[in-house]
Amino acid sequence: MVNFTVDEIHGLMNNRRNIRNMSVIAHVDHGKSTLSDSLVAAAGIIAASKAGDQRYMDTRKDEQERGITIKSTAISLHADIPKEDLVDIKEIQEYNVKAEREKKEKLSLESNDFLINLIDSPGHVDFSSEVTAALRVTDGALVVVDVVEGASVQTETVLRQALSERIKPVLCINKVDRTLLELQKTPEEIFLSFRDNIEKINVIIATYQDKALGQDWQVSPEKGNVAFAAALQGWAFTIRSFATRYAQKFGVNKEKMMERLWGDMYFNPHTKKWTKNDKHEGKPLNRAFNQFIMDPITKIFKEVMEDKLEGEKGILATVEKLGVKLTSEEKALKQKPLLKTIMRKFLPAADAILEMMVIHLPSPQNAQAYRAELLYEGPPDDESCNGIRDCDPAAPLMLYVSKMVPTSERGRFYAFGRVFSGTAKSGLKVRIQGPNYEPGKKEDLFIKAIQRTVLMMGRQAEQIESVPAGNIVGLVGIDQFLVKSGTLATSETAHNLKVMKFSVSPVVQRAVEVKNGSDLPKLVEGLKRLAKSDPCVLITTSESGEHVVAGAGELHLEICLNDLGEFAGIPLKISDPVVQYRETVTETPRDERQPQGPDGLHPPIYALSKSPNKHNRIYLHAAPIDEELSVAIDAGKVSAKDDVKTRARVLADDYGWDVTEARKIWAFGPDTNGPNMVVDTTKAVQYLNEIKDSVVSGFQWASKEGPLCEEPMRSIRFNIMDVTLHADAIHRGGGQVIPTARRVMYAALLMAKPNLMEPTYLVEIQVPETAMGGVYSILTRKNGQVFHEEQRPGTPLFTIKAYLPVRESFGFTTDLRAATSGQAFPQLVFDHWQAVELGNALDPTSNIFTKVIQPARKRKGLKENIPDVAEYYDKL
Amino acid sequence: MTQPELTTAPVLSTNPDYEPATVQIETSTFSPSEIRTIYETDRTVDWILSNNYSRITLQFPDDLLRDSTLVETALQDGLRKGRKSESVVDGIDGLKVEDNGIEKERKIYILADTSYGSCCVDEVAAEHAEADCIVHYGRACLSPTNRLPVLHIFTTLPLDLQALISSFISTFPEKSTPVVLTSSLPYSSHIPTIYESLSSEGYTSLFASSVIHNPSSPIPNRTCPSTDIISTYHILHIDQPLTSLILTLSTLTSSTSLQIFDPKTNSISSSASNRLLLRRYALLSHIRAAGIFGILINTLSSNNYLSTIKTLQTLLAKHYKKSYLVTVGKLNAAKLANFAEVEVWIVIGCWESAVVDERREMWRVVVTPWEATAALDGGEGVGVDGWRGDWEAFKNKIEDYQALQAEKKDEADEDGGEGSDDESEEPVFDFRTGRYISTAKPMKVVKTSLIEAPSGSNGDSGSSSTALTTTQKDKSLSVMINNQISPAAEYLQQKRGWKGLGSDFAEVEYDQDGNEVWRGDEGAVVEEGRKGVARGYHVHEGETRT
Repeated sequence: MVNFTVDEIHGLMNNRRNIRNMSVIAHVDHGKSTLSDSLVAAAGIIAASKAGDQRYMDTRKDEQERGITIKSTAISLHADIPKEDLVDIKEIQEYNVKAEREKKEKLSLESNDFLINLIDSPGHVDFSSEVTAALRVTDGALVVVDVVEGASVQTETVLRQALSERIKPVLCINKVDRTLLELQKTPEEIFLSFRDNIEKINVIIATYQDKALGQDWQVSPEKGNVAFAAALQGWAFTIRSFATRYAQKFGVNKEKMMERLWGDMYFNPHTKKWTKNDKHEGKPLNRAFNQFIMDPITKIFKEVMEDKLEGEKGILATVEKLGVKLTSEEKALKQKPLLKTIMRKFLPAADAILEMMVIHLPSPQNAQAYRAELLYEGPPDDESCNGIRDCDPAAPLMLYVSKMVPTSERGRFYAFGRVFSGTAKSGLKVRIQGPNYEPGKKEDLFIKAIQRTVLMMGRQAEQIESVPAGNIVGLVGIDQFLVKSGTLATSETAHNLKVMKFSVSPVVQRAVEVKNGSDLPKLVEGLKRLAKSDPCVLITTSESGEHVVAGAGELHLEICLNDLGEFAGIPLKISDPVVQYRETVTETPRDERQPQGPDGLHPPIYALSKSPNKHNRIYLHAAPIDEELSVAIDAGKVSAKDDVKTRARVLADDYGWDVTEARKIWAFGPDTNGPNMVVDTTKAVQYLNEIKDSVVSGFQWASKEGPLCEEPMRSIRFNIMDVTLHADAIHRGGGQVIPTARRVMYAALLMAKPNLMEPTYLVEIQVPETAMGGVYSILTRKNGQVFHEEQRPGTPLFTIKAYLPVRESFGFTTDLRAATSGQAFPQLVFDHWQAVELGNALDPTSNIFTKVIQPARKRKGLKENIPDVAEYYDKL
Repeated sequence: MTQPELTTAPVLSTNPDYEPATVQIETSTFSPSEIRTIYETDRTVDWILSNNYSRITLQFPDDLLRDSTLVETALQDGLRKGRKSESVVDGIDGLKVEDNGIEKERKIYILADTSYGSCCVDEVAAEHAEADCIVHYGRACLSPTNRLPVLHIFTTLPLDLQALISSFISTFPEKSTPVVLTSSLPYSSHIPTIYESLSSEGYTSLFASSVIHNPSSPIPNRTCPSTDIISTYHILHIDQPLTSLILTLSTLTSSTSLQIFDPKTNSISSSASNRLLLRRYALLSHIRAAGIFGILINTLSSNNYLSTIKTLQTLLAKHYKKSYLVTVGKLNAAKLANFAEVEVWIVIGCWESAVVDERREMWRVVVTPWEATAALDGGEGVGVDGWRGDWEAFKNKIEDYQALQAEKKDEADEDGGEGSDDESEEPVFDFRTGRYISTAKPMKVVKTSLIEAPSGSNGDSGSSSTALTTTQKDKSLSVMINNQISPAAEYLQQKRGWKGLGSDFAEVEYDQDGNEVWRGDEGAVVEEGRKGVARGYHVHEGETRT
């Protein structure tokens, strides 16, 4: 059955030009797993007839039951493409052109054996972090789009991520069978919807592709990097595959033919010439794409469905001419099963997709050359970075572990990752560098031997002796040292590979308790496993002693908690979902009695706190930071690690900061990288540098839990205005300054019109016109704000986009389904932080206090009321 | 970075306008006769006279200090009446005021500003006054003392008996409900009366606790039913108990059956012990994740604090944690925050000082030896037993856990310790943040480099030189002081940005490797500064500044 062995794959691994690492990404239900099935079937792992139904890559029970992918799953496949196609491989072409110019040896076109490392990723937005983990280890992405539903919010999210990681996309337009069977469209209508979909994808690519790269990654069918497929029926084609067929017939070369088979090109049967003019003597011409590609397909569909099978003109005879051989059993089939069999044999999906991937997606050798600078945190010329750039199996090891995959052994995991440089093998001692590792420090650094290396084959893992650079690998014996991800290296000077940035964040949380006290150790063990098994889930223990599980959304949390129940094997008590808020300020308090400064503003009112010994005073005020800057800090574009001067320049140019102030940012917080800052705006203060560390400590402490309801702060900058300090060092030590810094920041926050920010979802709903009323009524009830409504051309479907506070989102999906009798499917993805518009946070009668702050304080066991400013503000 | 206004090092003194401390003088609200009953002066006089003490110290907690002079006067009167020939001398905090014409002196000292908790008898302060005995007022932890005889006066407070009885009946309508009656010390004298009245109401299974001097009793310092049956009892506590007492009581019975009668509102409510236990559970995860501990000595009179220190030090060393021994007197946030590198403080004090810092004002968490032991020896997940009040299960859990650890160790040994020395140990999962942390075992010598001595193939001379560099490299990542790993020094080296006086002037630049390079004046010129203590420095020879 399986047409390759592990040994063969091991052999292929060394031929780096013949490897393709790719992930399949798309919106939920657009057919990723089904399409992957076709490829898996082509490799002989599952029966071809089962392809499309089995969803081999959905390995978990709940994935099969729910019919959605939850975890990304990897598989290594062997593919050989016709030798004559080798010349078309883009990167070989480019290389050889360059080699000719530089008089170097050209690449041979010998080997037509390819190793495809395929990762099927989940489409539901809640599991986007799985996609991120998949993208990191691959170089190419197969973007799947449902021709009817079109590119949607999740398509854009994942494609954007792919592009930011410099992952090259190719496109597959799926569910072509729906347009023919359900919607009964004409070839021209189908062409238009194809073109519309491709344009939309190209807009996304143009917006987000890395300009610095200098490559154009737009997709177009005439280049051959767009495939059209019906994954459920197991067939697909590219313009190239048809061009190959027709090139011989017309006696023209294939490239020419490809250009003619797409777009505004017509074959004029009267003149026997190709033309761009769509009319001949006033009569419309048939578009070449329709005439040569869609018409034959439409004909097969029509005749099979109308049962015109037998006879000279029957479909069975026609397909025979097309080279499709059917067995007598298959000839006895009818309707859809017959259609599936014919189409699968006529246009095998695997052939078209594999060929597209091999030709258009980069090999690791090629991709790592331009990805190295983006992947590596250290200097671009050290041995590790050179190893990555050259994809050198003899260089020091650089391996990124992007996620953990559970093994059959309880509680143990395979560390799943990509070898970027060097060779991973059993028994090799490596440096395991966690996300917080910094060169020269021992924090988050471990030494351990790799026990075993394995090849991830969907449900199974096959042992393999070594894995060289450019390949995807599973490791045994590393899992106890990394929670989710990290870098493995052998060079003493190796820096980390960049930590992945997820497009989702864990904004919904639930507290977990055991029903029976003595079960707690099991819960604790289960939580540890859960923390590993998902790239996004966050396990914390609050200061009030609750175990908190935080996830990206309701579905994500539900799956995580199910897993937790399974891991722990005990009954659990789970609290209602709770949203995480952020404490912020809305304006700088101004002293109206003082004269206006040169900027036309009154001077700010400063908060003042005295140290416990009353001998030190800190004066500062809180001011809001532009949300845009906070987002940049969250995304790591502005960070504590940046060079001070460059960062000051960026802040001044892009965010309107004063350059001198921007150079005096003392710290970011909480956690030294959050979107709050403490800025030194003092003039000539003695001993100031001496207390900097203490003030920063106080700031980290304060920004982690604010005074309103002990939620982290966001978008606040604390400007230190003045400090008076005792002349004796012992009286201005950390003990005096740390608590004082915290108190004065609390006072400043309370004085600057504090408010809460809440996470907000972007909701995208596809719904038929008839059910739109239900959607709107639910959105209104849940305080959603609709900002976009559009009809999908040629369908009765409408796409509605709205913002919805996460707080209101619990039960939203269920309510929506109920209100639209199951016709509306929402996708909720975290979009931004938004101010809670429920009144003044400090007013105990306001809605924000009674509905948000008070319950939160109660839950955390705090005093009912927000502390008064006077508790933190000391009078002069 | 340079401040343009500053061109020379600053003068190392400032004269900020400090405000004088305002002293609030509270005066007593009691009449002399009330003082006599509340402070039980007659009993005190009898005790002094019968034992013939001559130097007497009175220890008051801060909130009762306002009555101290009145008590002292009352005692003087009492002593005069008892032995008319004697005269009395009093003093406040060592300031002696002599009385006239005297044969045998009886001196009374008032001790205030107790070094540690005011519940503890401050024997050291009493010894400064060379006292023969101590009279301790107010709430007391009744920890045993070993130097001086002590008389505890609990300062009895009035109680609305009728209100208590009626709310008791509504809380426990079933007359056969087993209830332990207990209270804080100022109300303890009411217990027998309450017991009488309730029994006459028809309650059959009550237990009236009485005061004993035994902090390690199941209910500290009180008698209680035998340990087998106590879990079937409900507990009624009069007055809001200390957090430490709530924690102890809720481990005795299930947490829901602890009821509290508040004499101020005259109502019974159930305790908030669950929240406290959860908070304590959270503290346990701090302990597991921490690497540097401070052992705080918060008592000098506790009988066995020396052995406790020893035990704790051994415990911490066993888990490769670094511990420092610190004494700071009364705890406050400012004192502890001076040691920024310490991650967890363990207080050795009396049982009342089980600090669960609910307002979280301390810079770092403060725990008791109990929590430290539970967290380190009990393994993950322990603490719930306190959470649910299942003390026995907790002990079993620790034993189970230790057995399991031993088993694991055996397994590891069987696996054949293939070079386990030069491989890192598994890091600790920090439940607070959901990350692994590598700093929880700072005293474990870990290998941080892959460079190894070649296994003889390169010849002997080659291998020895490589081995040398390996050790140096290893050490370079752990900061050593006197050949000892010093996590605190490492903290200062890696987390402190301040480089010393005058660093304000240095121009910081960065070389190609991103290391800081200091240009210009690196620091102030060293010159002779001030000497002496804060009360009065010697600036230059002869001169004194205040």
